[in-house]
Parts: sequence; structure tokens; C-alpha cells
Amino acid sequence: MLEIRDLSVSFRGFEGKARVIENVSLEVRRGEKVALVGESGCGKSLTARVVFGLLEGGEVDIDGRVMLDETSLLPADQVVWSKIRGCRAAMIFQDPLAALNPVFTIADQMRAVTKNQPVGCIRDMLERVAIEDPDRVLAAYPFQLSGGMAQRVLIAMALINKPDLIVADEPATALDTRVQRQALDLLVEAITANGSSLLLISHDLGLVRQYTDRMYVMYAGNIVESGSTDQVLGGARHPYTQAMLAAVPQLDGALPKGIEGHLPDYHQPPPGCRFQPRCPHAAQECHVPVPLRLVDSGHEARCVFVGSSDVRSQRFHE
Amino acid sequence: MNRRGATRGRIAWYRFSRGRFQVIGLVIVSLVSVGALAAPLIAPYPEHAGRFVDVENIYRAPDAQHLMGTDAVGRDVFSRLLFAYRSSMLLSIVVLALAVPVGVIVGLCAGYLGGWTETVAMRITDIFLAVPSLVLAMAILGLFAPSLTMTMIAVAVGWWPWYARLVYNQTRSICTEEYITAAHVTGASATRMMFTEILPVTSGTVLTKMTLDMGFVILLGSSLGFIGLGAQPPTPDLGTMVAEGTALLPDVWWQPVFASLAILVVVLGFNLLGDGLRDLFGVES
Amino acid sequence: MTVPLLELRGISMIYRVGTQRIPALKAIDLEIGRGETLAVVGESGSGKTTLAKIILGLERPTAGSVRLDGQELTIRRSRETRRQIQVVQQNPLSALNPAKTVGSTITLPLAVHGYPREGRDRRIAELLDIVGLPPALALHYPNDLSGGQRQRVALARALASNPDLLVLDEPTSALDVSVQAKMLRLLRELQVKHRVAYCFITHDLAVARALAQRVVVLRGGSIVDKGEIGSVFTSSRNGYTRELLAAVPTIK
Repeated sequence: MLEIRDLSVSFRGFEGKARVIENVSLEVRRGEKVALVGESGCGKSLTARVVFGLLEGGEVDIDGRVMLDETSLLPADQVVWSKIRGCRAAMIFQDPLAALNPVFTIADQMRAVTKNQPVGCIRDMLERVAIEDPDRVLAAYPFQLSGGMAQRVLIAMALINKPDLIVADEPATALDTRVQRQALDLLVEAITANGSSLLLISHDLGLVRQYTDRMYVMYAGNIVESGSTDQVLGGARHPYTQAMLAAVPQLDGALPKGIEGHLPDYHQPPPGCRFQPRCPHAAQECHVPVPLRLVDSGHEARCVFVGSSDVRSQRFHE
Repeated sequence: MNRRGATRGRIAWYRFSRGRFQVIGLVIVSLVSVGALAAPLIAPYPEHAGRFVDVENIYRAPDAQHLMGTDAVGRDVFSRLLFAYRSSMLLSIVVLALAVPVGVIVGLCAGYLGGWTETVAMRITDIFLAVPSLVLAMAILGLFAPSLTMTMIAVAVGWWPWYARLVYNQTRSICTEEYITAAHVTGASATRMMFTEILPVTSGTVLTKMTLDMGFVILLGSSLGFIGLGAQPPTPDLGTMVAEGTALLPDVWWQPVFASLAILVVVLGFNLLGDGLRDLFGVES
Repeated sequence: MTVPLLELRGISMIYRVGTQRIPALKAIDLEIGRGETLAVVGESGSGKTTLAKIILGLERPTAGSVRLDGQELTIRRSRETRRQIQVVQQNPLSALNPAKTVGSTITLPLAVHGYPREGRDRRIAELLDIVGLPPALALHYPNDLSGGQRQRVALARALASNPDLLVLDEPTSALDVSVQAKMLRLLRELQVKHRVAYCFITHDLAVARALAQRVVVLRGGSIVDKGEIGSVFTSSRNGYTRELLAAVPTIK
């Protein structure tokens, strides 16, 4: 339903061209819940913004194709994007209180995003996201709401037009664990009820494990691993995914290990695998561009030490 | 600072130069500054800025020898404008040199120390802010013999409260930031907190305002000059030169028109430059 | 019995908002020994931030006492006392003064406590090295640094005055998991080398377990569970603690 093909984004700045996203391809099928996982600076939020046409300006170069069913979102123009925003696709941003306009009441803001929905649907939607006193919330201003409440309002706003796709960018990062879980439970429930799809962007592997079916792991602007959530979390094959999983502290009290080194300079990225300077298994073959290789059915990783054949040639023979 | 400082300078220039208008502002301000500074050297008739009368050449229209014509006593308008820029720039610089330190210190102390200091300082500030600067300056100048020096003092007295209020508001919001709490936890004294921790954060806003104010002080000074309360004749003054010429409009048009344009250009230049600085420093208001 | 480094007895905090009285902390007792880590676990609204402020001398408690090495502390602290208790905060984006270079930020505690001028540059380089940052970073502004780097600078600033106790208020919550792992290892290393005690405030039980020897669980302003962290996490009978433990996500 959402298909991103070979997306590349670079920024032209003082120090030259920064290639922050390179050849990223991913897809979200109808009714699926997919995660895009990675750490700060990997480009996952940028990827989401491209889908909604939020990345514009003279200093950005964007290449590739993005399709939402038959509608092309890239290349596209503001006319196309404004039609789909809020209607066929909606985005939930990270900080609920920052995403709401402080000078308008909740009622005003929700009315502003609602398009062609029956009367009373706003109130219904607030009830569906477990807000007990919708009238009070509707009359309130954002600063009068708690973080959890504001997040639920954002979810309601995203769902109001029953979009086909919801993109949630680090939803509820600003909230406590328990409140976070509640908010996401509501979101996923509503999505399943509507038959919509979810693209969850997060660095929190716990959330990913609980709420998504498939996932993509992103590092320094590349997709380095993809597959079902069970496959990737249970049997990660890319060294970066493995290191990231090893860094999560467990209740056994062992000190988790970090990853040596730091993100590459996007102005002069390493020629082949971008993780190679930090990888304990780095070898000569890593200095040339590495394609995604098949680990198992549906599970791919961008590493020379995975499998023995190129994914593309595999598909060709099927 | 050395290499790191140089790189930051280059990055700042890169960002600044993206905007056409702010670069135009910079060019205008540079030209005016050079003109004002070098007036005695580059003015074609520097002696016309003092006592000078040439009855043969009064009211000459602009021509090759007098680019902007001559005035009622035969003095070259262009040369006098260059010297007028000198007084205006001097006025701005001195006014800001007096008003800014006073305003900034009052604002910092009121914002950080709170309590009585805050109440007293901000009430005094409010009182001054309630009176329009032009009226206040006129009132002060009315008490003393008008001159450039008195104008500087009169305008400065009305100008410092704007900085006090600006810095006060900034200080109050900066004090809620975590890095200020952390500095406080190290045991820093109030003086150190105000001057080494809070002041640097306000510097971008203050500098932007100072740049914009250079133009506004010149405008205010010209208004005072227009009614005769500025630099006294024969010293050239932008406002006075506009006033002198108006009686004879539209026939003898060159002095008031060029003097007005001179004011327009310098104020515009500082405004454009100030806007550019505002973008550069990421200042909100 | 040696006197604990930090001792809180009967600490209560009631905020007055208009005519309302909001209790934030109720009769808190806790101790932290030299060189050890006490984890303070709680969700938002538990009072953990208020507790941090009281320990740091930023708020005056409504009742109770705070003792450092047996000496009672008030909110008016001497410079020497302030030197001994430092802080690392949660948000790396606001932890450092954006208008000052890294070197200048670290210089502040040195200047406050009268460290000789000639030695300051060397000490800054030393501190940056201790937290695993290149000395050249001293000339940079926080703007140029990543979240993890900023937290390290905040840590260097906190260590500059050789404190005995560091209050760490969710220091890794805003960091990526791999950056957090490095930070936790660094904190452990520093504790062993320099015998600094930590009051480690967090909502993340796994992180608490990795670093702390003892734990105190805060809920609604009261301590509902405490003890040696291993045993509390494996065999506590407290319902709330068990709830928190159950909510810790498993990845695999």
C-alpha cells in the first residue's frame, strides 16, 4: 500500500553535500503494522517526512519513488500532499504538547483537521481513545492537558478521517512507560478496527516487539536489515542489529555493551557498508556497496557475511 | 578561538549571505560608515560643513560640480550630507554606548535577583517606557541649550529602558533552563551567574536590537533636528537639512529630497542588517 | 558503623499552590554510602524530581533533615558543600549553556572553587579524557555535539570539582540504547576509580539494575519498597514493584 523505492535524500550545506539517506526501499502492505527502527541520526524521521512532503527547500535533493496505492507521493507537489495529509495518511508526532497549537482549543484543532465526517464524530473519537470526559477536553487548551491526555488527543486527530496509513514518529517517547503502553494499545486497537496500516518509527525495541509484525532496521541512511519482527529480533544477522540488541539492559544486572565509534560523516561516507568502520567483523569486501542478502524467507540483511547470493538474482530465479 | 573561531565565522557568513536583503543592508551600512568616517577626505567641499557662504552659488540645481546642488547660502549639499552622516552615526554610537550597558545591567539584576530589586527596577523602567522617546527627549532638551551632546544624553535617557525590559524578559526565561540550574549547583555567585552564564545567552538578541536601534536613533535624532533641537548650525544635521529646504518646495527640491533619502537609506540599511542578524542568531522577537 | 555520606530523615515536601496543599514527598528516609549507587525508581508524579532538588539544595523541604557526612545541610549551602554534591540532568539538549564553549562550561566549577588559572586548561583536557571525549572538543559549542557527547560534557562538568556525590536525574533516558550502554559503563568505571557515590534516579528498572547496589521505589511521594537491588527485583512482595517489573519489555 505504501511503497518507498530507492529513496535518496541529500542536503547541500556549508561543507558540501550530505547524503543522509541512500537507496532506502520499504513497503507497508494493507493492514500491516511495520516498524522502522534505528538510533538518532539514522534518517528514519526524515524518511517519514518525505512521505508527507514535509521536506522541501532549495537545499534538499530528493530522488526515488514513493507510492501510496496508485498515487505518487514522490515526485509530487503540495497539491497532492495536502490532499492526502490527514485523509488517506496521517502522522503522529513525537512530543504531544509541541504538536498541538497552544492558542486554540482542542475542539477547534480537531475540527480543523476533520474532513467530511459525520456530526459528533469528534466526540466519539475522543471516547474511543479512552478519554472519560470528552467535553472538558474539547473545551480545554493544550497546556491544560497532561502528556498522556495530549497524546491521546493526537491519536484521535490522526484517526478521525479513517486514514489508510498512520505514521507514528516516536509516539509517546515523552511519556512514562505505562502511559506509553496505554496510548499505543489504543492506537493499535483503532487501527486494527479500521483495517488501516501502521508505520511505527521508533528506537524502542520493546514497543516494536509488542506492536509490530514486520520491521526495518536503519543505520546511517541505509536499511541494513528487514524481516518479520520475530525473525529480526529473535535472529538478527546484521552486526549493527546484533550490537543494538546487545546494548539493551536486562534485569539480570549485567552491564550492556555499547558500540565503538560513531556515525559516519554524511559528507564523506564510507564507500561500501556504512557500518564498516565500527563493525567487529569488517573485511575487505565491505568497502564496496553491499546489496541486501537473503537470510531466510522474508528476512534480509545488508552484510557480506550473510548468505551467498544476491537477493535480486534470487528473486529472478523464482 | 583560532581555527574553530574562523570556521564559525565562515559558517556564519555562508548563512548570512544567503539572504539578498540582509547583504544589501550590510553594504549600505558599510558605505554610510565609510562615508561618515572619511567625510573630511572624500567630501568634494569639506569646508562647506563649517561657516561658509558663497552668494554667487546659492540654490544651484544638481550638476557636475555639485552632485546634489547647493543650499540657501551656496554650500554643497552632498558634502554637508556626508558630514551630517558623521553626526548621526556619532549620535547613535554614543546613545547606545550609554543606554545599553545601563539597560542590560538593570534587566539582568531585576530578572535574576528578583524580590525588591525586580519590583523597583521594573517599575522605574515602566515609568520611562510610558513616555514616548521623542517627547522625553524634547522635554530634556527644553531644559538645556540644545546641542549634539545634549541630544545624545536626552535620547539615551529614553533609550535604556528598552534594553532593561528586553534583557529582563530574556533573563526570566533563561533562568528556567537546566544549564542555569546546573551552574547554580556548582556554587556560582550571583554576579558570576548573571555575567558569565546568563549574559552570553542574551547577547544575540541584544546585538540584533542594537543594530536595528542604530537606525532608529538616527531617525529620532533627525526628528529632533527637524524641529531645531539637534546639532546647531553651521554643523550639518540630517533633520535640519530637511527642515531648511521644505519652505521652498517644489521648486528648489534638492536639499530636502536628498536629505530625506539620506535618512531613508541609512535607516533601511540598519533595518535590513538587523533583520539578517535576527535570522542568524535565531532570535524570536 | 560508619556515617553514611548522605542521609535523609523524615523528609517531607508540601507545595502550596494558591489555597491548595500538594504533598510531593512524605516522610522519606534514605542513606547513600561512599562510593555506592542508590537507584531511586519511580514514575512521573512519584516525587523523584522533588527529591533530587532537595538533595541538591534547590528546594527547602517542609520537614526533615538532610545530612552530608553527618553535618546537617540547609538550603543556604557553603561553596564547599556545593562542591561535594553535583548533578547530571536528563535532557542533553538543555544541559549545556548554548552560548559557551565546552571548555568554558567545564571551567565554571573550576573558577568557582578557585582552581589556579594556569592549571585549568590541563584539567579540562584531563576531564574530557576521563569521560572519553577528545580534548579538542573544548573549543566547540554544544550545538556541534550529539546527545551522548553533551551528556559526557555535563558529566565532566559535574566531576570537575571532585564531588563525593552525584545526583543523576534520568541521565540516559534521552539517549539511544547503544549510547546509553557506553554511558553506563563510563559511570561504573568512574565510580570504581574515583569512589563517587551516585543517587541514580530513573524509571527504567533494567538500567537501575545494571548500575546500582541498592534501590528505593518511590510512589506518590512515599517509599514503598527498598533494599539490595538484586533481592528486591527477584523476590519483592510489593505489588507495585512487581507491576513495574512486569512492565519491563522483553525483546527476544
